[in-house]
Amino acid sequence: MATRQLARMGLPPELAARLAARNLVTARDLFARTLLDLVELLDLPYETVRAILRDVAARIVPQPQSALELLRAAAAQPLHLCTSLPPLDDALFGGLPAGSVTEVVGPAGLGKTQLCLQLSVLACLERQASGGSVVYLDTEKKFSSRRMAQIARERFPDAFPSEEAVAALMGRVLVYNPTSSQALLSTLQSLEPTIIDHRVRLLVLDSAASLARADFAPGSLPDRQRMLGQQAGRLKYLAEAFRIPVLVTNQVTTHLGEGGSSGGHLTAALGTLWAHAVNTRLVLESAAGNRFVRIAKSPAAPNAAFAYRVTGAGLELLPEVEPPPQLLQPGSVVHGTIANDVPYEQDAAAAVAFNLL
Amino acid sequence: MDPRLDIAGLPLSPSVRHKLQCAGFRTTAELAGVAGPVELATEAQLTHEEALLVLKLAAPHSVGQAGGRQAGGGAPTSTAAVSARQILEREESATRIITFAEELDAVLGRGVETGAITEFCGVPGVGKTQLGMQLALDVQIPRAFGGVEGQAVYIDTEGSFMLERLCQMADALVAHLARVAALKGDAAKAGAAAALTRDALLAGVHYFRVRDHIEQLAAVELLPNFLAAHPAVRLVVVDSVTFHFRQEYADMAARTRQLAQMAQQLMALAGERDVAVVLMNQVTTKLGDRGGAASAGGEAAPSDVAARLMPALGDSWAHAATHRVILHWQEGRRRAFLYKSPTQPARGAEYAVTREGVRGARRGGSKRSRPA
Repeated sequence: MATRQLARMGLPPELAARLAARNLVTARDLFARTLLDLVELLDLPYETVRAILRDVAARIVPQPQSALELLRAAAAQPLHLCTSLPPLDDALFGGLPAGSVTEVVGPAGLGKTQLCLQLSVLACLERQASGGSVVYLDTEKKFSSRRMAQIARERFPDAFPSEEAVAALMGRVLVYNPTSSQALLSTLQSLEPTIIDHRVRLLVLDSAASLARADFAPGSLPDRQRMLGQQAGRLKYLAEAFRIPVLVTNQVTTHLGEGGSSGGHLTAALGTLWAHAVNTRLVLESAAGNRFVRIAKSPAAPNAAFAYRVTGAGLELLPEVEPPPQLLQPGSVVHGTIANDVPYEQDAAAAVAFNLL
Repeated sequence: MDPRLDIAGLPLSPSVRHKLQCAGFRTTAELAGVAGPVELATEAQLTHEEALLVLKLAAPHSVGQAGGRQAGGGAPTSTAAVSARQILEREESATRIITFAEELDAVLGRGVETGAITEFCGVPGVGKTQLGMQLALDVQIPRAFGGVEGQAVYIDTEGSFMLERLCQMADALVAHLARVAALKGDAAKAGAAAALTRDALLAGVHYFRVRDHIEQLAAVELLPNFLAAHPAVRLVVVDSVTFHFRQEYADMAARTRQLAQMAQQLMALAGERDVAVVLMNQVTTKLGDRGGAASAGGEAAPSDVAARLMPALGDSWAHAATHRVILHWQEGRRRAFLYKSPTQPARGAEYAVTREGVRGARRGGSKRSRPA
């Protein structure tokens, strides 16, 4: 880790004193400088400095493992969070991969938050015996305890037979409401104790886009990308350090085609850097009168799309509906089109299903 | 070795340099005239070890180590030339690691070259991680099949490495080798194919997970030792080399220096150990209209106008790799374009990512097949 202190790396005392005297306190201070810089700074021969660097490097790089050892270790700690949507789980080799960042992107109203709530219930359920819980970072005030309770009751009636069971579930979902990008970053940087104390098994960020787009004017794109990069780095670090899945939602934006202002199309927001940063991208879109969840980017799964609808129990797949072929066109993830044939409207059926009235 | 090199140009520690200058030494020619380390030590008030170090750097022939590379301190100075013919022989016998996509292998010159750095740059989702994983398996193809029969180091900086997918690709490779052995009816091949199980393939991939740019620099620092301890390794994949260097960099000059140093270390590693170094790079969006410069100004211009995707990490990084390939989409197909190589002509190729892994493009579409 970059911030590991050199003083405690078991280096010989004179060397440790010399490093401290030159204000080289952390591993980052050492590696941020070139070799010749260090020769000048430390007043030591070239080879000695190289040896010091190798010594420190050996202490901060995590131990390598062979892929076989990883596979054997995976039996102890699950590699995936099941989504309870079997065809999607099959395609993803078991569900949301642990240790990586999964993004759900789509136009407003298609069910991104619903999916987040559903997965929160699942994460608590899966590790119920060992007390799993969820950290939910809600930037748009869309989190609804009542809706989550409804999903729990309707989807898993056996697991939540009583109000106490539902209340216990509620107690294990920790909701944060950061109000600015900087606040979000600070929260991410101070989450480690919470994750350990509460045995958090899923981290949800809903959404990554709203604060970024609100805090940064269109003219300050480099600053926004730098902030997003830091947030992405922190999310990945938490995913990796605790081997948990991280779920992030994203909004859509209009990408203007080349040569002409007309004929733009919807695509995922937050640009190329963010598209690189997420490991898996699931797109929620509507086409031909149905809603589809499409795997747009995944190191494990090929392109695939599944029709779904939102009910009281959350998302339900509709296996009998075939996705239209244009949805499965392979192509660039960055500027890939997101279909939104039917703009969002709260129709009566949906309102009843949500049981919110 | 220029006999008139100024002492200030040698990588000496400041106190040693100061003592030499106080004693009146200005150039390496003057050091060459010294009888030996003891005399230098006396004259310049150095210790014997310091004096020996100085002489090794400044006047290597006087210390009895002729030509070639030096064992001891400082930057190696190679005084003996290698003839172009020797280099040709070395190049022709150099082994290649195939990707299983025939067109791509052809464009690269029979596969990924060992002893060189090959960079694959591409948009998200185009298959960089897939290619990295495929190469980590292909490097292990036994010699009976014309393979390199080595092991792989996989440095994962992003968390995209998916174990189950690697297992799936390993199974497909094992099946493929068995099929080839059966077709040829060759006993040696059959034996080699039988010995290469999926577990054996997985055991041959050494996985490093680095979580920030310092760990990445440290991992590269450690590679020479790791490779010395695991001489079977013939491939090092860094996926991706970019991610941690794209953020947290207020000081771009520092970033450029660190990248340059990392590139140097990887180049040295590739050459000395005859391993193939494969780097995955991301793309970045360069804003502005054609011919105009980047950086968004105060005006709220539509950010997507004429945005171009460029390899990330800047122009100075462009010199790090020996061969550079851009992976991109064209009309729904995956294509690779070799646009920088000292030995191969610039050419494009089509490839596909299937359930078995990276393969050549099929007639009639390169869409990834869905799981049954």
